[in-house]
Amino acid sequence: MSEIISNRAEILFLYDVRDSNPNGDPLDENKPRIDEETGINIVTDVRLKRTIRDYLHDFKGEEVFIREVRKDDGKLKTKEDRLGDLKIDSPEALLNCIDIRLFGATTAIKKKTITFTGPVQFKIGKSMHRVLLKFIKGTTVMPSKEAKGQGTFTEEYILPYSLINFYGIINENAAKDTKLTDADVSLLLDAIWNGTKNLISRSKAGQMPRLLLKVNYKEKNYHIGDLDSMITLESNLRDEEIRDITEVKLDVTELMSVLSSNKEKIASIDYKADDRLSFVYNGVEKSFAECLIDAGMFINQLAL
Amino acid sequence: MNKVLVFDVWGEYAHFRKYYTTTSPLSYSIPPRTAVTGFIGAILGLKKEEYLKHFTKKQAFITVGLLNPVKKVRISENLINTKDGYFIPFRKTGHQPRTQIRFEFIKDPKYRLYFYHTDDGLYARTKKLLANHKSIYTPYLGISEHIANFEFIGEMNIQKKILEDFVKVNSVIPEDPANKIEFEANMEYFSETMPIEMDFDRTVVEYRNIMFERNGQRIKAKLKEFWELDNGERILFM
Repeated sequence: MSEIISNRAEILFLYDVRDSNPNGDPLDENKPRIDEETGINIVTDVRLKRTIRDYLHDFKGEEVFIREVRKDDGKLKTKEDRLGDLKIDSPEALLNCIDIRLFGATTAIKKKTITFTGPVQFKIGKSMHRVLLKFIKGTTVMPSKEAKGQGTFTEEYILPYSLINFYGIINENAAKDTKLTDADVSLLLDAIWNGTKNLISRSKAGQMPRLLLKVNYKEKNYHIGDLDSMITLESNLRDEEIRDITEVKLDVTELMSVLSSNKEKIASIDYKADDRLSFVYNGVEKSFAECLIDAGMFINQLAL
Repeated sequence: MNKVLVFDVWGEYAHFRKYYTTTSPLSYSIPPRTAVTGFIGAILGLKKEEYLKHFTKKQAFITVGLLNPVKKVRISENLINTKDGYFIPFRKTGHQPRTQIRFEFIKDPKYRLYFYHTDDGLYARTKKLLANHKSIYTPYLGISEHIANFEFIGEMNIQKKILEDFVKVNSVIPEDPANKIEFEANMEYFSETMPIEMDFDRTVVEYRNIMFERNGQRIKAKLKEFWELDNGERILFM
């Protein structure tokens, strides 16, 4: 048995999409979400959690509570069926599901309300640059009705490019309530990286994880906060013209100086950085590992 | 009461649900007193079943000032349709597997919170945690995806003042017939009815009209009484 986590951690995760729709707005023609005031692309926290849940269930064989389940006759199962399948008769039994241990849940079993606050929470993700919204029209080869001789037209909105920044916290105190273990957190990191990469649906193909950073604290009850706003994107192109990760550089000077000034409170840093990403620290281009070492961090490259 | 803890909280979004909006969740413009008690409870690590008993109006003195203009946006989310007792996405005639909900969020919220507690131990613990930028649970603004950050401004001495003149007030102004507001040009005055205190079973026992200026400007008012801080800020508790 793996131990319940004992330290706080902050997570920073960057991924990008090309010619796809990272998170459609169901009430706005499934358009990619855009903050109209700033032109920034938005991805909800629940989209990232869905990615994580699907990967943990489909690829890792973990028990996941919140997912679509069908009966043998092809029908989806109800909550009561699911609770029966999983032999869940008490709130504690829900904790057999990894997503409840990670993200918590508010649900009701036999009229009894159960609330677990998730130790792992993510903010809404945001692109690091203004994005371009593109309208694509296409045709299908299959007619919509039998008598028709032609296929129908399709309409969709995509983003030519978006580099998205997610920030999350793992809280060690809330972990006691849901019994979140170190092994669960390893699976979470695996799912963030590989779940994003393996989400090969029509609208998500082309998603690539670029940077995953986990700051492990040794100081009790402490975290820096706002890490996501400490990396800035530099490019010679106008924001809307960016089409590839090689066209941007990430300036990590502020992030590194904040990490460095909190050196005494940080135990170590787990990270994984994509090779195609360029980092700038104090005006000099460096690898991410070099930046972290310069900031005086103990580092551990994640094997994902 | 002769001192108060002052700290700023901010995030990218906030959502303080209005109690009467369940399916189209709207947000209060500022955190109601009840939301602030939850926020301080999270910093202190008090369980959600127990924190309310530490924050009755008799024990805890709380108010809020606006530091950023109130901007509201709507973000729609695809939720599981749990009507008819289905918790897992389930499609059949008359039941859609998912339901789309528009959430009203406050964008770029930043508030200054003022806090005093009659329990010296709890007050000292809050001060120590804030000063060291520590929190037991993850603090957030209304709902858990709106993770918040905070900064301790300091512990300030306060004095109760009774003045005949109009003064500018840094905090929101709870409605009181004895108070007079001087309405000025180019200001946007709003008032919202908010929960102030909840019973231990989360039944609201008091609502109050709270007035604020949308851009975070200080409202000029003639008040029955108010509190003045070391740094000249003037506040009224909610």
